[in-house]
Amino acid sequence: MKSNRFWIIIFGAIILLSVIAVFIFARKQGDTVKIYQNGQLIHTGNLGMVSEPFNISVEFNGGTNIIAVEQGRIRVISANCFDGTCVRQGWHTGGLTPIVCLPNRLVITVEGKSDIDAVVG
Amino acid sequence: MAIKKLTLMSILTAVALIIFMVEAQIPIPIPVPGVKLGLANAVILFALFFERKETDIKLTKVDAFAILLCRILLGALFTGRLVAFAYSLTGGLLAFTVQVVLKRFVTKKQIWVCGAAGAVFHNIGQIAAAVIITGTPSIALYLPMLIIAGIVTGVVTGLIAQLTLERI
Amino acid sequence: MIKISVLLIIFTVAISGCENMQAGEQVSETRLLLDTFCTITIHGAADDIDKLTDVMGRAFDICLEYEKLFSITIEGSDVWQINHAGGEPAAVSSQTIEVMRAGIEFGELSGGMFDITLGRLSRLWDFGGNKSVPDKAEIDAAQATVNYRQVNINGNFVHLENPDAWIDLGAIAKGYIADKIALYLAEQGVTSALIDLGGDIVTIGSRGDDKPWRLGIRAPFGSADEYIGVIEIVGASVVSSGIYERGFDESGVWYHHILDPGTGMPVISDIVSATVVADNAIIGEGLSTIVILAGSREAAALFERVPGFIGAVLVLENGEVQIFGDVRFAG
Repeated sequence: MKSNRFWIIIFGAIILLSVIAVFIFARKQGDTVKIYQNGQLIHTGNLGMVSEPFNISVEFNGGTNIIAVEQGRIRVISANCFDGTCVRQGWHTGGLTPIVCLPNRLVITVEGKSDIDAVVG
Repeated sequence: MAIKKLTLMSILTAVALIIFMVEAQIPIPIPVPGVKLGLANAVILFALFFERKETDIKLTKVDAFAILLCRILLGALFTGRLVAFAYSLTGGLLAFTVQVVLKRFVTKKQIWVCGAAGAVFHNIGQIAAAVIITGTPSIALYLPMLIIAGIVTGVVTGLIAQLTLERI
Repeated sequence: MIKISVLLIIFTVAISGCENMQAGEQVSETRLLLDTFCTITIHGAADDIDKLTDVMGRAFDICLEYEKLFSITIEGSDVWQINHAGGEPAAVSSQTIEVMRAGIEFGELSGGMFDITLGRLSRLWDFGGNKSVPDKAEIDAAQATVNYRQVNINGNFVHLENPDAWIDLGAIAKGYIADKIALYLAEQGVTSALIDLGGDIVTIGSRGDDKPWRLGIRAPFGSADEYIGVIEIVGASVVSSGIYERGFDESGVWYHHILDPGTGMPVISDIVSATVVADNAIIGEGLSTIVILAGSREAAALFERVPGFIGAVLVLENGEVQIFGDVRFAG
């Protein structure tokens, strides 16, 4: 049987690595926002190109999310899902972790510079 | 199955179910998808490590598994969220497997280890399910945060099971 | 040493900060219409944002109105009325007549490969719901009703000589609607906009900062954000058709949605994806479908016959990419 100390070290190391990962993930800045619904890319835009804020309303199977887009940042301002995690995630300006609304299958990522305005086909 | 054992299992299932449902009603202020206390797992850990020679009830791993399945099924039915069922199932099964394996390597004073590992793998299972269901792999980037949350909550639930077993 | 490093760092940070200084007021909205995702983006001056938002909303309404006319499934639509008239003349709107005439022209242009009377066949295959190959007997029966020459248009009346035939405007309706929306926006004074109806694109003017619009050409069989190259356009339309868009797999064979009216089956073509740049979307939509039906060898001759054609990018099944006409494509 391994001693308590063994396990404490193991978990401590895992926590340390995870904390480092969190910081690395949070660092990436980006301009390209991509909105996925149910795995499909439904909207992509350039956050740097916005100087007047606007809203996007997105629906899926009766679930609605309203997304606010401003210069350089984006957030979900309202959702009719039951936990509202997505709303609480606040403004995203970059970083690798996306805004997620699992019940409405909504994922919003902010990535690096985008090349294009839309995809044909 | 002996009546005493059946009674114990029913009670444990009921307790796990109630804990699960109460927890589902309380929103956690942390804005990370999938973060939860997971207190119902304390019951499963209790079942896995249960040993009371005087009562001659033996709870096997299969029994604990049965309690887990019932809790997941009934939990999904009663809270009315069938989609959550998929997440619950993947998380719960993975966590259970890991906990069973780890049981061989820990003592009665180290149930918190099982709890931590179980919670971490529960979250891994849930994220995997979310990635598959929504088809967007970038959700997986939440894993580091969920691992930290898992270890913290897992230690707590593990300790609860540990201390309860010591006192009965 | 430290001072130089600090200066360098400050310098780099300052440079990267500059990239966000371009101004671009825009309104944009995405809605689920015509069975797909439709996005309208309008660039304008900050003072006009409210008006632009109204205009954008009205543009979506127009889209919905047209859907009610052209849909083959909505009971009471113009197309539905023609199809259920039992061979009697049906009175329809002038817009429906416009689309049908365009469809008939495409029929002539393609030597009958493009046919607006494909309705029975397309409903039989029904790539939206049905996922299996229909009976040969059913295919033959449906295929027998296809003949765009048996459509008579008299003023605002349409009548089908074969009462069993069905009209399906699905191949060009989206293009027509996109063009109409562009017309409406232009009438309202919009000088820079991008209309994206499920991948059929019409642009007005150039992008907010006087640069051309950059559009990715979707990779065949790739995910929605994978593209094989970028086309740059100003005030033109780009439409793509491909065998990967809709279809199903049965016994290892891919059955796609571009049907050959001669055989009733998905056409066997060497083209996997066709992207056409044209003055307007209905030309783009028609041509991108016709060129797949005709095959790459006919492409050059076909494109020459159509005024309004600007350029095209074809992806062949062997992976080759062919470029026609005047198009700025970087792949």
